[in-house]
Amino acid sequence: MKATTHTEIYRPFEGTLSTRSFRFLTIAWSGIRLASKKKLPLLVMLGPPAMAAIIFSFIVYASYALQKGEVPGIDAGQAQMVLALAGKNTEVAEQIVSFLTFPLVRGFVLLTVAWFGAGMIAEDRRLGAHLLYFSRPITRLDYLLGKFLATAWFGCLALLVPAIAINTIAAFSSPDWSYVKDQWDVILKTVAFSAAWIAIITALVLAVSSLVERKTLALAAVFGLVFLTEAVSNVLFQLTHESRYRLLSLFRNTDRLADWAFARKTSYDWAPEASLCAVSMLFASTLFVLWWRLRRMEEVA
Amino acid sequence: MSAIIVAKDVGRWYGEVVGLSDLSVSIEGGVTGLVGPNGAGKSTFMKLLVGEIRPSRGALTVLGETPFANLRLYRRIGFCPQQDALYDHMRGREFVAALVRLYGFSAKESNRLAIRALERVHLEDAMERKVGEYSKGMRQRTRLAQAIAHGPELLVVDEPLSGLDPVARHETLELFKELGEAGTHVLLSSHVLHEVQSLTQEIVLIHRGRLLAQGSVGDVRRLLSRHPRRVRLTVREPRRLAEAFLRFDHVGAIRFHDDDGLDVETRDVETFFKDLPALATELGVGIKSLESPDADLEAIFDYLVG
Repeated sequence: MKATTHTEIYRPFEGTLSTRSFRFLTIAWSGIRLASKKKLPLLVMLGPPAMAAIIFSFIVYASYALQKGEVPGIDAGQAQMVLALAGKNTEVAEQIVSFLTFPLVRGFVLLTVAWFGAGMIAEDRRLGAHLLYFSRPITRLDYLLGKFLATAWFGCLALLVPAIAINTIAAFSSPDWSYVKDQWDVILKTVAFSAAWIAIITALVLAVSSLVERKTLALAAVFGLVFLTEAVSNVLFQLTHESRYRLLSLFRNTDRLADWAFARKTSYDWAPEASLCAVSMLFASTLFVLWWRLRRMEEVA
Repeated sequence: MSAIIVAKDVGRWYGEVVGLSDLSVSIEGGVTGLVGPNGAGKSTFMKLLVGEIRPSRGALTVLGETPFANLRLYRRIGFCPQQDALYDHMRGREFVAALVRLYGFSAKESNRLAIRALERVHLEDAMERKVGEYSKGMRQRTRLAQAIAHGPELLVVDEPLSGLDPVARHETLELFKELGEAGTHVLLSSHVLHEVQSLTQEIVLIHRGRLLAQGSVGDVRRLLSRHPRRVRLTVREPRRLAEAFLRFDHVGAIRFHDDDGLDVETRDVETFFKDLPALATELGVGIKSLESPDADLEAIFDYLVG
């Protein structure tokens, strides 16, 4: 049918229009699928944390097996080696917090989140893809949440999933489910600590991504920011011997918070509240930058 | 026909840079061309229409609703930006389907609509290839596909013909014609004036963020009656004919070119064309050719912007 005027035909939408309000999940899923297209970076980034998780899981398993006196396939010498690997500390909580703050794991979690998150907003701005998003029935908050979840997903694969795996090994290895019964709080703290750490670095990476228009620039800026503050913190501490300068370091603060959360003996001489305050300020700043840049996207569109 | 787009004193600034300045325009349905030179404010106006940005001042309604942050309205609009906006690692179908999903369609339905839209822009053979392998024209058509996939009432297309080869250009224009005939309102911008003219007679001319003229090309031309219009003739005896033209009050200037060429500027083109055959016969000057080079949009635009 041909229209003689253009208002004669109304073209109704076909199919089923969902009324669900979680549209950010569509953006997140699309972001995850897009970022997962290249398998090699996934393998390279997630390999080392996975290997660390296997080692820590084995230590946890062996610790319980040693406690029970059942060490299948391990002789006394190997048992001693396991204990040496465990740092003479067979406490499961200790092993989990060691995993969470293990420099290699922490480095690769940062690398993973930065690699997959650096281009999330920067590339959209460079290509103008945000114009396609913002002309659709989604809000800027949906867009931000979608990008946040997509980036955090890779952080979860690098940290949360291995940490949960270690907890699961501990639960199954412990005699009579004693780990779950007596140390259930460790499981909750593991999830909370991992989630908080991932959220902070995800927000940091996305904030940097929103400020530049190239993924490589964003990557460089994230590592520059993290390692520069680390270096400045160390230098100032070495020069002045004042521990407050170590509050500039993201890693030191998270170490301090891990010690506090898991009730571990700490080597730092400042209150955990100071670290909590420093990390909260960083998180709030990144959220502010993100919100400001998203609002400004309409001007640079 | 009621207006689908109404802008009243709409202004938009980017800091100190003026994107649009007190633009008041009312656009009715159908296919309309938004014409203006680079930097005229076409893209800004389009982004305002699709709710990407909000006006710094003034009021704007699209399909009877205020566009900014109006999620309900976004379902009824399709937008094809000028920017590339495509993810190279995705397949064409995946890309379009992912964007269609944001309207609330199920995954299966989104996929179906994406395939249909890609077929409509003649990308059916390439839809399973990665976008990174597409030519510039194919990328443009992919952008078009994502804009039309959900069957919008209003399609807003920013410079849709740039980068297209002649065949793709023709196909794209045909697609707009089809959409217009099927009832979709189409607003497309271009600075390639004759292409807009070949698609629609309804134009909106903007320059430096202001409305310059609006209506059909003919209407706009008539509005400009105070401007002299040029007629180019090739005749056997140009000087004799020029002498005769000087008797007409509406002829303002005459210029010779080549050996047999004559450019005449007239303020009353209708009278000119009415009198010309009789005059030519009377003088026996033998008119070989006649054209009005400034009757097209390009000339109108040149007149308007000075």
